[in-house]
Amino acid sequence: MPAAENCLRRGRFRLPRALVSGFVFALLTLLSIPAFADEPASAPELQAPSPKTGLLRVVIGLAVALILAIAAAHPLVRRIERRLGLTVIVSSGMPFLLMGLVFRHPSVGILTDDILTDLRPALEFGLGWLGFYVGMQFDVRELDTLPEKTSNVVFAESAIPFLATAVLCALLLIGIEPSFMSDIGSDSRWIAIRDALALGACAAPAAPVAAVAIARSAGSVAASIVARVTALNDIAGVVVLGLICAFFRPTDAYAAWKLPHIAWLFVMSGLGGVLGILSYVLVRSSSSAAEEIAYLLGAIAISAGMSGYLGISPLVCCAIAGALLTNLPHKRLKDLKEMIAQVERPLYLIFLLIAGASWDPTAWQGWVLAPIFVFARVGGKIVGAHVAKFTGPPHLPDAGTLGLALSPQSPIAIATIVSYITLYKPASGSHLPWFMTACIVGGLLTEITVQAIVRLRGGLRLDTSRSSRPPPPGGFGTGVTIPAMPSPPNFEKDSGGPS
Amino acid sequence: MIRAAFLLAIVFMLVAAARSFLPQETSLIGSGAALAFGFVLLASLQAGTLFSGIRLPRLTGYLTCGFIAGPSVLNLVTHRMVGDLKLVNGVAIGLIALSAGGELNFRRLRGRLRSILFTGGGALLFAIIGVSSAIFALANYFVFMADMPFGQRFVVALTMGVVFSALSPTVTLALISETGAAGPICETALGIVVVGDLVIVLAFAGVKALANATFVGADIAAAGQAHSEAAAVMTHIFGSIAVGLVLGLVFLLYLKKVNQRVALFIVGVCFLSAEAGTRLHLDPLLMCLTAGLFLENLTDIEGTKLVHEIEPAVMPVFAVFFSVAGAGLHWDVFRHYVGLACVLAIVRATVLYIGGSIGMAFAKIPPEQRKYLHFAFYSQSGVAIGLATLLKEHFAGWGVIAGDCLLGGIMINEMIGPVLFKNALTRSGEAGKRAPTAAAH
Repeated sequence: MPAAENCLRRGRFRLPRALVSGFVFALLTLLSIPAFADEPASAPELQAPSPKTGLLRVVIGLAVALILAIAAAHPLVRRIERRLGLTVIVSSGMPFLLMGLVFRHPSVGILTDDILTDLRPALEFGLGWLGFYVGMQFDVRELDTLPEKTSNVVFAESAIPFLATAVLCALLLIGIEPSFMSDIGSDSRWIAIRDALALGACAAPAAPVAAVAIARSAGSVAASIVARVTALNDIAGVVVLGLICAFFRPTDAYAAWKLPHIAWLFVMSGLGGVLGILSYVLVRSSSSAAEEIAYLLGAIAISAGMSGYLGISPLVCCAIAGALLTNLPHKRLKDLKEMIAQVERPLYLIFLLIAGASWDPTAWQGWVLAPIFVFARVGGKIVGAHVAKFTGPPHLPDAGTLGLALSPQSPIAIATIVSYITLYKPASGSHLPWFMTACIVGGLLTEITVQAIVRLRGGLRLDTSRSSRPPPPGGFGTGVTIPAMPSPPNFEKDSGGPS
Repeated sequence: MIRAAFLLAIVFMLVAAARSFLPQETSLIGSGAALAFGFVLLASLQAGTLFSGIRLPRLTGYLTCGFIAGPSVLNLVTHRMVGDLKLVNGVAIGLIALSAGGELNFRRLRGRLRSILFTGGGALLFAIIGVSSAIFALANYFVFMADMPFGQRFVVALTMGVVFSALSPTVTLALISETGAAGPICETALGIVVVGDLVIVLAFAGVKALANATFVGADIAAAGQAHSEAAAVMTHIFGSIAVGLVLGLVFLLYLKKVNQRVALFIVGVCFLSAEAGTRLHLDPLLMCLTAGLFLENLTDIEGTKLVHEIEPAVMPVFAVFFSVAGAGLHWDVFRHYVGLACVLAIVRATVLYIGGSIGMAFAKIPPEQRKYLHFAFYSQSGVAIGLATLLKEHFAGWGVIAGDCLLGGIMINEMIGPVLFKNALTRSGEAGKRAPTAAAH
């Protein structure tokens, strides 16, 4: 049966990617399991369910999450997203966040405090993977092909939203929590500045949803520029987070190493560099796809673990390592990038499940911060677009279109805030969950606002279904290129009935 | 090899540097597990390459690497990290069992059934009797047995004998995968170790009930306990088979109706079922084995193709699984019981050889296969360690020391057994007869 054989062959060709998805899922679930292994039904508010009932509840809950993550990563969902011009945060991210919230509820008792504590390794690994994903977008060879003055666009679209958000949020934080300013000379002021910088870091990244629409309205060069700008905006957010990690050390109280803050910048970049070279040597020395997967998993896990150990965000170190890996010569770089990108979606959904479970939306301060965050961020993006139009390359679309195209929030923003909270929550304050609310609700509000404006304007329709122009060579960047799904492998026996 | 040695050194140095950042007694919850996972995976793969270069099994490299990095030697991977990483066992056992089930076609094995039953039966019978007798004879050298009356000595010796007779399906399958071996020796060996595993689990339940009766003392309570033990064993075995059939049906439906991201689904289900099964007193090995057997033998799904789909996952899983096993080896325990452990290991090997040879003669296995088949019996791993640990947990007094003695012996078998079996596969000519799987690279 040639058709069946062909299907099988194609199935095998896709094996590494499918497998790496599976393995990462298993790893995430696996790293999250000790809590229910040790204490099957320990939620204090529950009326003493039997251990087996509690265990089954957790198993069924995680199984449901697994199935839904598989479903949500399906190409069909992506097609619907693109057709509606939605980001992953709104389309499939929100359900996972809400599912995390529901699982966290004491009466459900699936993601209890203990389980969340044990989810930390999964979180670290997930952040590491996303860091690699972000870093691998920083391919100097691709950036060299961009028109002159594109860096102005990147700078304007990163720095202005960052500054606007940081300043406005700092002012609001001081208003909400006067102790930030009343204890002059204490650490509180620095904490407020640090928090505002972190929110600013979340403001820079932008989701690449509008590239195809821009290709139709302004040409493929403009679309390519916008796609690259969104990728570089993600990196800008990670850079700010790195600076925060260096200058506001979360582990100084108990660490054996006492270094000046500036030295931490060197440690961070050195560690990222060493891990990047290590990953490169490992991946290059692999003799098969399976070995490559194993080395990649190991490299990301060790990078995330080491970063966490040193009190540095895994997102930052792994981004440096990923950037190095992508810029060194490697024949199978494209496959490697595809492999990383393929897992990014399901990984991000599981990540959002954990984030949702860690999210405490009850504090009103977060809800107050959210609209300010959106206002500052979208305003910053639109002002940045005007600046970019003025100083950037001539191929750009009009400032309004560009601003709106770069406004939807990138998934990396939530990863950034989760990483920040994970690092600093033990050391300073219970106020950090406010920022999670601001970032999550802000993402949703941004989406609603942008969609409303876009539809009112009628100028930038984020509808990709009737694109008349082909995308630029090489796709629209990692966030937009959707690899074709393979034909499913054929497992049925070649001949005969049931044996 | 030089590159592997260099990378191994780099990985060790990096982790040592990271561990120096925090005081020795401090442990980080999330980062520690991630660091340990990455370190163990990378270091063990390099160690495997080094061992492969000197013609030893990669698996021994994984074990050695885990042992050196583990709490017994360098303590780069702490006890807590080892505990966290033991969760890989669920996936590993599930994948191994599913692969084994997917490879065992009853129609093909029908001709070998006699060989499997006679050889396995002979080897296990001799092993249980021989090892138990040796322990009984050496009772005065085991501190905890010195003051026991005859009956108790007998029961303890029998219990230890059963545990120490356990074979290792995981090591056998791992080595067959690693060497890309195929042929009658592989198929018979795989059948024997899988069936042997079931027999040992059943026998352990029986002797545990006997030991309970002996050490609890009160007849009625003991009889009740024995009855409940028997019921538990039945639930354990038939419950596992029933759940395995359900799993097989789930896989079948998924493959027929969905057939997308198959590897993801299988790995996830293996993990969840293994973890849940363990907590529900079901055997993950038996569950996934049944699922694999069901798919291969009762459906039109081709088990080998399914196995091929999950093969690349086997490499990292095996590496971490066996490294964690190596890290779990207790040097301090082994040091105390090294003499007894060596004696037990030698006795076990001898009686397995004799029993196996007699069984092979009865089964009329060709001499060229007889020469190598018995080497599959000497390895020990997960099942034996699990039963020894159960012994320690269940019998708080004598069980602790007995378990430690057995773990010493298991440590020897764990290190030497794979070397012997790999060598046998190579010399028999079965190694490399099919394309080596992911684990072999």
